[in-house]
Amino acid sequence: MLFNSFEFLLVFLPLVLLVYFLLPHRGQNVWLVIASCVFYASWDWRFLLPLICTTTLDYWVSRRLEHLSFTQAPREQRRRYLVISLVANLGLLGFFKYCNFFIASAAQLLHALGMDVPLPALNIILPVAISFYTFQAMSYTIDVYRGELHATRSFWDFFLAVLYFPHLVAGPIQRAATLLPQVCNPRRIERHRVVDGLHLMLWGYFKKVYIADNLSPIVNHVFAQGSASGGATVLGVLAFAFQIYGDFSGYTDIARGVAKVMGFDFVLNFNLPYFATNPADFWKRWHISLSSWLRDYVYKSLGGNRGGTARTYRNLMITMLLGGLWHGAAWNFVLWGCFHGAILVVHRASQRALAAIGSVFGSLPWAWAAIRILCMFVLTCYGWLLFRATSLRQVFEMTRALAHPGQGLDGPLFAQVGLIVAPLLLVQVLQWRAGELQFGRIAWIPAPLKVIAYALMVYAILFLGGAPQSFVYFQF
Amino acid sequence: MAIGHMKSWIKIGSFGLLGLLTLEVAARIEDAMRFQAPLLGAYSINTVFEPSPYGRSGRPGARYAKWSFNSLGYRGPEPAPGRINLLAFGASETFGLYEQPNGEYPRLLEQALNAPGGARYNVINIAVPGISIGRVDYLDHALQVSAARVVFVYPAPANYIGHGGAYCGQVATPVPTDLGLSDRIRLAGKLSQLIKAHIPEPVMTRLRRFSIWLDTRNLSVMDRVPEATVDAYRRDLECVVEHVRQHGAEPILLTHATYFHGTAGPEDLALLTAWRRFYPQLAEMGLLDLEERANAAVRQVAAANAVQLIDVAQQMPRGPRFFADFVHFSDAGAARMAQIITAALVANPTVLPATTAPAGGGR
Repeated sequence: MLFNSFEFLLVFLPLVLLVYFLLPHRGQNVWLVIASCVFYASWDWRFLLPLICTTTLDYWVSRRLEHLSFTQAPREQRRRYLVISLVANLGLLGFFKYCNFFIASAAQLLHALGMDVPLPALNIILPVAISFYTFQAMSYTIDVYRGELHATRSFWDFFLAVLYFPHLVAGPIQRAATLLPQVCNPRRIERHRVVDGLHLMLWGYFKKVYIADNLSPIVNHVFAQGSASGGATVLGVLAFAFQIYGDFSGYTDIARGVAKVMGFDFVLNFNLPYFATNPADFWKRWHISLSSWLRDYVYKSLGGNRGGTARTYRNLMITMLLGGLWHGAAWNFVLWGCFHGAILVVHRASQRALAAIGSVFGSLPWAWAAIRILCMFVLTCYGWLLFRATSLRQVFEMTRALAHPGQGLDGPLFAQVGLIVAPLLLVQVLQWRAGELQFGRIAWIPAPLKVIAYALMVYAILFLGGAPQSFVYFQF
Repeated sequence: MAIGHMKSWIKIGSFGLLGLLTLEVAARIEDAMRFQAPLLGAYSINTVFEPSPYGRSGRPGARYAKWSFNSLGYRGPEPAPGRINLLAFGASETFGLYEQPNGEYPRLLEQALNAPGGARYNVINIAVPGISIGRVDYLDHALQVSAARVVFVYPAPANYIGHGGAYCGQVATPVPTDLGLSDRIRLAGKLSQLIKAHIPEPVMTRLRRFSIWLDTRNLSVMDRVPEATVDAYRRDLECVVEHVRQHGAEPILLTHATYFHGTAGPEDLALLTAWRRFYPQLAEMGLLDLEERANAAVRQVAAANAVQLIDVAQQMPRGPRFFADFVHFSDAGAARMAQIITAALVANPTVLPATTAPAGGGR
């Protein structure tokens, strides 16, 4: 059941909200568990089994950790329980998501070495959202292990925190520390929160239905070609940059909006990422819930920047490589992660040089900011080429084609992409200038103009959307 | 306090109105950009027809979305000079509803006929949705203005349900162009299309059944149409043949094909209900019975008058590949229809005139 389907919008969500508003707090939680199970099972009821297994195990482990902490048991004993949880979660993720990838890669490697060993691929169906909920569940046990969080007594509260349908399928990855208290304690339904939630939903649907779904066929057309001209590559990559942003941030906004209407607060996941001025800034703006997860549980666990320059660079590269691999079991995701690791390292290494160049601009800081934003956007777009490519061969061909970016450029199609993206850019420039992500709260825009803008958004969603597509991040 | 309350309601009301106005303006701008529609005034399929002495006819030069009319008021391009004119006469099946632009069967037939030896024929689509085949005064006029040499007659039997007798000889009264809310307010039209497109089929079927129940509460429902209805249909076919020949042209009669190809299983019930929605007084299976009897009448009239018959009902396969609904063609269905007619003409090449000279009779 997709957020952009009529069954979700016209049947599931109204029914869930109607009953939700009529129930007391504990009843609301039970109702949300039922609704979330129905939501998740609408893909395939069997997907519920691994989810129930991991949450049950993580609940038990966290209770044991809490008990051991209370009895001041040796750290070694507590660590054993944490290892059980990590092995189970990562084992599950590895089995479902990476098993065939490693088998195929091993077979290719052996073939390259002249050994043709028949390694059979396993017939595994990847459960939707497994990357998201395993990370959420793991963060819970790690936080309890670290003593940063008390384990909850109620299994159903924990189960709901993991299963809660708005964030289940494609995030934002909610830390138990922020979501569990909202599950355990009664929530307040307030008018301004409902209005904010509806605003987020509307903006999310606009980005998904108008921006992403309209760009999708253009992107698919470009990347379906084995090798595209320089102009087509530029167009395809540019369109994909906005498609994936519209798709993923649109989903996140809808999820945050639905949750807000019900009285939950989800973390911010996107903060004008294409206005980032450098790679580090980009990861503070793009998929924030994942990048902060990787920072807190991988980068810091590896030592962060505490062991000197070389170790910091190593830790950055490992973290980003794992971040790439988290997205999917394919070499282009590995390459994408490495690329972002590399630009993070280069940026870190060249900070002094960049500061010196910046000082040249002296009285024109905006020009220096514009140059940095543009450069970062170009780098991000190249990253998207690695991310979207269907094979390493295509990466190579398209990279080569970029040497002639004007060759074979389809003017009308380029204009079409521009027309699709223009409203998004306009709103984002306004948001950036005002430092306010909620368009409705930008004070200097007169109320009638806001009404017109919202009406146009509704029109675009209803009548100008592309053919409905699944959300890109559902595959992760 | 009360004044403050009222002010807030006025504010909400005016913002709501502004929002609706914006939506309407956006709808008009979109129509103007996509279809060169006028910014002001009504714009819907109903605006391309106008009342005429024959009931209603296409408005010359009118356009709506994919439908455009030539200067004669017929769907399609202007007839090219120097070619032999052939007419395609029928109702919405011939007019074309679901096909891509220029994908309706008269257009495809023209392409097929002109393919082998260069362009020689215009196939003029004179169909009007809902027209009965017995409206020969309309046909007479079309024959006069086009000097056509052949008329493909694809009649729709369902238009005779509930009608007392033959249409031939009856004086038609101009049908006023009745523009409703969805014709005048673009947003209403677009919303109604959007809702129709997204209501799940089982829900739609229930709504249709409810609507049929409402329509037939005080009526007795027929299991099959009386013989008089089929007789009226037969008389109109005879009349068409006679009038076409009076103009020196030759009719070609086509039997009427449906999605069901004569039989309907339980899986077809929803579609039959959708069809019956337009003729609630006749039971679902009565529609198929009428088709069978009407097609028998077409065959009889063709045989009795030595008119070429193309048995489309026999040759058109059933199912959703060829039909977009119960009787209207999909793109593949229109292509198959053109193919069936072309094959029949190839098999009997004497039917199509080879020169533009009239075969006889007056213009």
